[in-house]
Amino acid sequence: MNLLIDLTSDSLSSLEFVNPIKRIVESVKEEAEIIHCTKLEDEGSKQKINSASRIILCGTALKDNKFQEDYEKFNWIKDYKKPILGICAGMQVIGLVYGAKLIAMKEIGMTQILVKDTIFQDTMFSAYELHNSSITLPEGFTEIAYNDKGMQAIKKDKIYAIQFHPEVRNRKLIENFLKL
Amino acid sequence: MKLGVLFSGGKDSVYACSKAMEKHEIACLIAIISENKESFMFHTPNIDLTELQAEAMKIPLIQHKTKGVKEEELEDLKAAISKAKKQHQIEGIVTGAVESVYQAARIQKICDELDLWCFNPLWQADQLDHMDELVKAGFKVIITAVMAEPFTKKWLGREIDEKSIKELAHLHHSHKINPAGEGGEFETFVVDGPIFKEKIEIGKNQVFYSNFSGVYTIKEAKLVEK
Repeated sequence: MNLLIDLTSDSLSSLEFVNPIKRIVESVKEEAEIIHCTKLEDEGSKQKINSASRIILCGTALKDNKFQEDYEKFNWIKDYKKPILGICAGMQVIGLVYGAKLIAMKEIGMTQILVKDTIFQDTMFSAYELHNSSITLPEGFTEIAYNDKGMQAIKKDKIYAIQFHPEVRNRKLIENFLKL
Repeated sequence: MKLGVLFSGGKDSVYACSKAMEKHEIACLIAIISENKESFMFHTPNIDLTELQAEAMKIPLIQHKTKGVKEEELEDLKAAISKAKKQHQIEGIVTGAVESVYQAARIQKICDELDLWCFNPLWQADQLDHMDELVKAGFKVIITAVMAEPFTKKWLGREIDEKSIKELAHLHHSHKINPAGEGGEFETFVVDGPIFKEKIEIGKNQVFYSNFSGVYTIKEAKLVEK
């Protein structure tokens, strides 16, 4: 089972930032369950986190930064050995857990992302952005994609964190994550 | 939260409004009347009738005119949203955007500049599921314009129901028609639905059709008891 964590503080936003991810997961015949970040400390949620094969931390609306207030409840991420994908707000949560600082970085709409490669020339693709903030590179992470504004994707072991929204025009990225 | 809905009278803005009403108070509808029929941002057929729809839904309406010049029309949209914020103290905007990053990004930017929340409850929805859900929820939607091959004249004024959704699904496979009309292949108008206190009865109408392109213009319409 793939566990999607809803970081939105308004349930109307869940339709926009969580449901599209759920549809992508289910479209490749994978199971998806959603838990809200306010319920993370419930016994049932802890069990779901432990039994999930992968976890996706979904994004939030541009004005929704409530998730930044108590990121300590995500400290279990450090002990989780299975694949985690953080999208936008999810990337910020992962960064904060690993000691990164929040920085102002506004992007709205399509941008060009460059994927880093040490041998070949960096490859480019278009992606949809919607955020006011980003993070500094957390210790132990490697930057794997960037654009003219800054960091767009980072990685550490099985943890991936991306700044843009792959559910818009880059669903393949989520499908690839589901193969990990 | 008090919200304003960007309202064209078509299926997506009406359905987005209905989804938002389940969670928040809808303080007003905002309709942009574009003089440019090719507008990138605002659809035009029967837009004047948003007044009758707002009356049917018992929600105040703000209508704002634009010449529909690309990018300049965004300033008109911003002015309309600004007016809604001042008049109705809205804290956010709801849109019926499904796929268009062009529209969504521009509205997000305006909301950001005006310090408003932006909600897109239909964002990235599966097109066919979305149409099916809309019909099952009890919305009565008619097609008011077609702009792609192989749409014939018979589609104009036709109600979207189970049968027409199946045909649209077929056209999606045979002609790559977006089944929800997101690529501008067709336009719609909602005459009734669970959020309508009264329904709209269409009287006189005018159909213009030529070469896979046509418009169904509603000339007379009135509210009737449900």
